[in-house]
Amino acid sequence: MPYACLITRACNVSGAFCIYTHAIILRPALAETFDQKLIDACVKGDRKAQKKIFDLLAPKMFSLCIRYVGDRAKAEDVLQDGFVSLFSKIDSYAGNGSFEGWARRIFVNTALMELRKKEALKMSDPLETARGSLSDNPTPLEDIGYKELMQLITQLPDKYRAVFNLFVIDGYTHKEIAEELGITEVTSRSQLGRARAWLQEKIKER
Amino acid sequence: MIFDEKIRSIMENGSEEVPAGLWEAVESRIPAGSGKKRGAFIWLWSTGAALSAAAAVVLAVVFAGHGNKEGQIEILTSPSGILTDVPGDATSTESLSEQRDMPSGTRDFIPQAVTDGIQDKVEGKDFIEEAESPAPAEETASATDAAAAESTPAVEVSTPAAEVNTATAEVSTPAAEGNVSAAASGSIVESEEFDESGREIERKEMKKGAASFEAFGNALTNLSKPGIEAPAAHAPGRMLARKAPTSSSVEPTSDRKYGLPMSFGVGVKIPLAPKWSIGVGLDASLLTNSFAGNYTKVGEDMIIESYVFPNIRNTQVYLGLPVNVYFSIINNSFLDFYAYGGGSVEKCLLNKYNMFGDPEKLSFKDKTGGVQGSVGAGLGIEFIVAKRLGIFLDPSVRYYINGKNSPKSIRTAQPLMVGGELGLRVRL
Repeated sequence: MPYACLITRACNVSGAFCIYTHAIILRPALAETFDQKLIDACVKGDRKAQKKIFDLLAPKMFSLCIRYVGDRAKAEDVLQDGFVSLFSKIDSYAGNGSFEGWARRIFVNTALMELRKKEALKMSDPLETARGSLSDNPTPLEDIGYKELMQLITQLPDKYRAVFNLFVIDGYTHKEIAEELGITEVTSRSQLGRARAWLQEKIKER
Repeated sequence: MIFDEKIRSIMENGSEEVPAGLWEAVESRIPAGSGKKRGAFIWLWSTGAALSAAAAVVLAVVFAGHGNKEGQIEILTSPSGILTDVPGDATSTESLSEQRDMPSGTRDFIPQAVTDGIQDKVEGKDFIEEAESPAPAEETASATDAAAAESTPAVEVSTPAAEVNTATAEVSTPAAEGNVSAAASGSIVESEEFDESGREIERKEMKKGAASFEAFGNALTNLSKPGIEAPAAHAPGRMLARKAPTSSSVEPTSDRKYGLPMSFGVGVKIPLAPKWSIGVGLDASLLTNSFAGNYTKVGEDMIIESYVFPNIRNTQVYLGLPVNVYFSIINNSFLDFYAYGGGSVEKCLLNKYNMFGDPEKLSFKDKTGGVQGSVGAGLGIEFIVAKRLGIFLDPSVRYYINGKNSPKSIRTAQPLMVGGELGLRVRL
C-alpha cells in the first residue's frame, strides 16, 4: 500500500516526522490509482494531470455512459460533458470515499441529465416479458460476457434501464432512485423487477 | 440476489475503448491553470512546518547571544542607590550612607556658585561628584553605538567615565554634542572641568578604548564596596560642576546588553497581479536592553537625587505599520516561494526603565521620541497546509532609520539587522 510505505519512510527519515505519520494513518485511504498529488495538480489546472485522470477514468466512464444512454454516439457526448463537469468540480472532492466513486456519481448525474433532456425518463415504455416475473431458478450467467450483457442492457427501455443500472450496478437505493427519477419507491421496485425478468429471459433465449 | 451480484461483477468494472479525439474535445472546454489550491501532503506539510520551526529556533539562538547578561559588571553591587546629594559643605567627609540620613534641609544639591551659572534649561547627565580625579578619565564607548548625539540623556551607551569625571551635562550644546558624537565615532572625547565658581579650568582630550572601561569599572568597585566609606563625592578637590538637570534621566555606566527583538502583528496580503501582491499590517514590537547605570531623579521641588543601580532594564514598545510588495517566484499547490521588499514606520509607545537594587526598586518612563522608519527585503516561503491555511517563513534583511530622538535600542546600535518572520496566513 503506497501510504503505508510512505509512512515508514517518513519515520525513518527523522524522528521529527513521526508525529505527522499518525495523521496520515488516520486519513481515509485515497483510490489506489488516484493519488492526492495528481488530484491536487488537477485542481491547479495542470494539463498533464488532467490528461492522466482522463486516461484512467475514461474507459470505465464510457462504459457507464453507454449503459445509461443506450447509444454509443450519445454516450460520447455524455462522456465529454461528464469530464468537463468533473474537472470543474474537482476542487470540491474532500477525500471522503474513493475518487473513482466520486467521479462515477458525476457521470451518472450527467447521463441522467441527458435522459431528462430527452424526457425519456417520463415515458412509460412497455416492457413485455413472457413470464413477467423473476424466475426462482437462477439464470445461467457463467457463459455470458461483458459485451453481450451490455448489448442486452442497452436494449432495455430508457426508464427501466436507468432503474436497473442505478440499483443493480451503481448501488443506489430505491429511495435515491425515486428522488433522482421523480418516481415513487414502489414504481422503482416494480420497474426493477420487470427489468430483471426481461434480462433473464433474454439471457436464456440467446 | 445472486443475479444482481453476477450482473454487477460483470458490468461494474467494464471498460470501453475511448474514441479518438475525445480528450482534445474535453481539453478545449476546460480552462487551463484554473482551480484552487489544495492542501499539501501531510508529510510535505510536516517537512515545511519542521523546517519553519527549526529556522525559528536557529534565529532565536543566533540572536539570543545578544540577550541580557547580568553579572558582568560585578563592580556595581553596591547597596541600593548611592545617594549623591551634595551637602552645603563640600569638604564634608561624611560617608554617603550618613549623608542619606541628613535632614532634607541640607539637601541643597547644587552649590550656589554653580547654580548661578545656569542659564539654559538643559537636561543634565550626572551629578556624581568625584573629589579626587584619578588618572585622566578615559572614555569608554560602545563600538556599536553609531547614533548621533541625543538630547535624551538617559540612553547614551558610551562614555561612562565621562559621566563620572567630566561635566558633560550640556548635552544639547555643541560641545556636549561633540563629546557624544566623538564618543560615538570612537576617536577622541573632550571633557570640560570647572572650578567651584563655575569657570572652566582646563580642557582635556581623552582617548577611549576598551581598556579604559575596565579601569573605570575598578574605580567604581572600590567606591561601592560595602563597608568602605565613600569619600569621593565630598572630599576636597575639584568640583566637577554641571548644569542642573531639569528632568529625570538614566545613564548607563556599562555596555548595554540587548535582548532579542520580538514583533507580533497582523496583516493583509492583497493580490494585485498574477505574480504581484501587496501586504499591509500592524506590528507591535518589544525591545529590551539592560545595563548598569545611574538614575538621576529630579523631584517637583527640584530636589535632585542620584542613584546607582547594578541592573537597569529598559523596555521599549513600538507600534508599526509595515507595507511590503511580494513577487511570487514559484507557486504551486503546496508551496509559494517569493521575494519581497518594503518598509515600515514605527512609533515608540513606551520607553520604561526598571531599576533593581537592594532594597530599592524604581521605575522611570522616559520620552519616546519620534517615529522610526525601516526598509527591508528578503525571500519568503509559504507551505500551504490546508485549503485556506499556510505557514510562512520570511527571513529578511532590514535597515532601521533612526531619528535624533529615537530611544537607544538594538535598532540604533545595529541599524542593519537580519531577522525573520514566522506565522500563519489564512486565505479569505
